[in-house]
Amino acid sequence: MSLHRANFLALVPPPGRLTVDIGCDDERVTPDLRAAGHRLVGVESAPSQVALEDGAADLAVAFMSLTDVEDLPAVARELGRVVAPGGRLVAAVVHPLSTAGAFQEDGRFRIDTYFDRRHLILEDYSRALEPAGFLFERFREIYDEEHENWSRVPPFLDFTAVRA
Amino acid sequence: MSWTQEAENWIAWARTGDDGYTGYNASFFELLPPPTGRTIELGCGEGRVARDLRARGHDVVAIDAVPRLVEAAAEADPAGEYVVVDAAALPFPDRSFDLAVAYNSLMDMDDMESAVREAWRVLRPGSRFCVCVTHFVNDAGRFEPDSPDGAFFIDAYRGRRAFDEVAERDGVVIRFVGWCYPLESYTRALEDAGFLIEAIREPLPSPERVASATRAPRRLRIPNFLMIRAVKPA
Repeated sequence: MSLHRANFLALVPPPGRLTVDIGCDDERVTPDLRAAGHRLVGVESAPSQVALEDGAADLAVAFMSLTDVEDLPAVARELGRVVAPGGRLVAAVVHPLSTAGAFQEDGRFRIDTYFDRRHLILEDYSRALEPAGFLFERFREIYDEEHENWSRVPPFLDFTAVRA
Repeated sequence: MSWTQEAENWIAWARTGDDGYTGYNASFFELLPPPTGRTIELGCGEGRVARDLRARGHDVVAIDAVPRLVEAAAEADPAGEYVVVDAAALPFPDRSFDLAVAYNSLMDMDDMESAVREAWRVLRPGSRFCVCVTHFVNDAGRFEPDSPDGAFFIDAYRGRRAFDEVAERDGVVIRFVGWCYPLESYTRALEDAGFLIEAIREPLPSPERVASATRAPRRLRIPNFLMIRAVKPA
């Protein structure tokens, strides 16, 4: 199992009533969640509508499936609707630092513009989740120890948020 | 301790010209809940944030570990309450404040985590801790060349790194000594203390700042500050 998947799964709470698996994919965390005993409802990568009653789920999991979402606030709103108060969202995204720039040939990481609408920055996630009723509990910056460059700049950011 | 040595320089720095404070403070005040009850400010320096909070209706106790800075803050605002004390060991009872504020001070404390824990302890359940720190991107590198259109290069991001740089502006020279942290260090300190994060802001400088300071336009590309509003769950 990749280190990132292992780190991510450590953030996922034990199975509850129902877990929404966003961007379910047998290549990624879906089999792990199933093996851990989660009752899964899989939805596409950018669910603007989830066919569940309000508060039907107590967990939503998004492993690398929010990054390419076009309307993150709408997705967050829908997750806020289907996740019951006290439930959680656990997500892995590309780290805004890593998507703000690129490694040069000399190994240095160069950023021209962090405030670039072509990637999501930290504030974008906050602005989307706030009105949906989620509060951030944890952030974990994920490095790749096997690659010198990515052991210095974290390629991924995992977070958990609780539905107020 | 460097801030004791740099106290006079900081007073001059904060009170001469504009170091960018007015280009960002509106974003911070927007993040604050409306004034209610008592507010504590951690690391008040010469007192400009406490004065601004009081002008906005907050009932403020402002603390700083450096006696000369607290003296200067009290001189500038005789009716205010300014106390010499370490943010990592507050002499106030549990649950005695309704808002805690740390504006560009956590990164200058040697024990940032204890200060965050103390903020949690002195806050009433359901109340907020609002923080501004230098942004994790800004802390990790430098503009090259050091010009308005220079690109930004990351030197080191991972782990806590010591910061020690001399700056000069409007005839004032100051040595800034403190710490640089990755994002997770701040969020872990909040998490470990028991806070939840409600809002994160990466503000742009105000249009006035961009128009008036030659190097401010590069802050439309690279963030300078990170602002967080956390809540102590009820």
